[in-house]
Amino acid sequence: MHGLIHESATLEALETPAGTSGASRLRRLSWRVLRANLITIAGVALLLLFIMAGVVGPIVEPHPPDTLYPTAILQAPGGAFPFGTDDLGRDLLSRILSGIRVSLAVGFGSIAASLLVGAALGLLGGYFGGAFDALVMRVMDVLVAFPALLLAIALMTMLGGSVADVALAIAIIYVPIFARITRSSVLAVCGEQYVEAVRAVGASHARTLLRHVLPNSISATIIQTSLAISDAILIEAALSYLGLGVTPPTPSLGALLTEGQGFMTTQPWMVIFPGLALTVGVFGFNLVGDSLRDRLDPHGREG
Amino acid sequence: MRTYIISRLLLAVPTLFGVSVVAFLTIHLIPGNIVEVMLGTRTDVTPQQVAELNRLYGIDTPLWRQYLLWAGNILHADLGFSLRTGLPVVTLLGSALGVTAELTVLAVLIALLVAVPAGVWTAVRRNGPGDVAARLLGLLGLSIPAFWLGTLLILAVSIYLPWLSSFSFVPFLQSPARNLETMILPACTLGLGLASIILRLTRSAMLEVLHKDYLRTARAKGLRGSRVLAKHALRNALLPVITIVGLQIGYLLGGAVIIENVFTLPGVGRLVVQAIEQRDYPLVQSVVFVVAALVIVVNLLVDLCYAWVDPRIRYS
Repeated sequence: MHGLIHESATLEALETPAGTSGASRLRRLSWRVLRANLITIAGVALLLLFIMAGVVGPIVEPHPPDTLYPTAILQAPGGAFPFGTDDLGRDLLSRILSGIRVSLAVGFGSIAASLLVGAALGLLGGYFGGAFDALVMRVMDVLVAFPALLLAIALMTMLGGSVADVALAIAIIYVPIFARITRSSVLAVCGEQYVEAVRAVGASHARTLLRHVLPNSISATIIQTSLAISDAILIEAALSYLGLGVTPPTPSLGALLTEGQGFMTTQPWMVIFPGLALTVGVFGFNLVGDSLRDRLDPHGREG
Repeated sequence: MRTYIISRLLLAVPTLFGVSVVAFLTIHLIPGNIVEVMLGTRTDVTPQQVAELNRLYGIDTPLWRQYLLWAGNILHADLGFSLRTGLPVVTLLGSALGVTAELTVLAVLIALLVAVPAGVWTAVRRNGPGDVAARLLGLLGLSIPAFWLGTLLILAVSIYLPWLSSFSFVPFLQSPARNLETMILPACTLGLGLASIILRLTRSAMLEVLHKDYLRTARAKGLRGSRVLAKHALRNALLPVITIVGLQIGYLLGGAVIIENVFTLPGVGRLVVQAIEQRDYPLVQSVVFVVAALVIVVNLLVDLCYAWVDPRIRYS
């Protein structure tokens, strides 16, 4: 019996021992459906929480994030200040909500920009090849040689401290990643006969690229965006934690953590809540990205 | 093998050149120049003195000449001097690299120790509750910001293990025990993200080999399950895992920058952040270049080792 199962050698057969009754098979199936969706559901829930906090934040925030309440300095969570206050008497919840907005702006902004530029470079390089492709790919090699955070730090020395500057620094880090992924799928697609056929019936390069190559090669790139946004949010927070990110007083989750460190033994909420907010967002993007990768890209790209 | 090595070495040369240009330009495109930055708002310097300083730091020449001078010096292992301390960059970098190297090696060891057995286990129990839990934990490990986790660990230690809470760094040669005591928390923090990556890799590599014919053969000839796993499956699955761990050096060094600043360890990450705070741009430029060059060299070595172990790579 076992021999037969192993003969058929498919994964399904290996997982479902012979002789399983209908009921237990059903239980197994529903567990698998739940398992497959558990990560997606958890991810979407966390992501919605994070995005809603950023979007609705200005409407629901109990206090203006920059207003000082001299009578409520370093107040513990509760009452008028659900997350407590900082050493200047500012409401921590409101500051975290503003910080989430910065995280979202940098995360979406930087990845949208690098997706646009990276995908375009990868598309053109992969399709036309030649000297342009070689040059672009060498430049990309150079950019990926730097540890991401170190390159961001180096770029921040010459950029200013606005949200757009931080987004630009992070976008530069992600251009080569999107360019490489897009290029390798474009190379695969260009080898297909339908591309050859389209060219043979006289379609222009632009039409071939935009109508045929792009739609068929972009999915692997899109899958990476959610994971890239989570990394971008982490890098933004790390930069502001090091004091190299968005200039104060604009609240950023990383900077809130740095501010809280001096008080953490007596006012631990000052480090707990900002980090928790950050983790919720990054975890959400990672979970969604992971289940996207699972569904759309069965070969699973690591990293 | 020889042609493969030569071609890979030749490919690394333009990349190193590009890296040096980027490191040079990011620092030289800052608003204002080094001398202006150094003088700040001081008004007690004459224009002659400014010109003298400009000449001393070589910024009165065109940008390309400055680059050639700097790059030429690097080829002679001369990384210049730190503006603030006057010490040679080589000296500062040497001691900092030692600390960072120890931190990363410890982090890799901890991550391997935890994640490889966990990866094997989840692959064997594929789709079970433990597998799902491990996958969630792995993603959580990648999501927790290292500087937050580090901060919480410091907080926890100061509350629950107050006698441990001095984090002043002690060099390994001075007192190995005290050194490891201060390094263990930072190494665990840095190792967590890597452990998540290794867990995923080990799991997928194991899944790939688990239904290979040679495993069935091993089982068919009557070997125990654990022995088949350890000697036949893991050994073959581990090779790509180790390779990819080697290629994570950039990720680890980036993480080390943060961890060293959380735990105030005198490594490369702390050096570069302090240099930026003090606007010590020659130091920043050289450290950024050396770290990127290090990443290129380590990646190259890992690739070559892999090609040596697995000849299929060379011909693909």
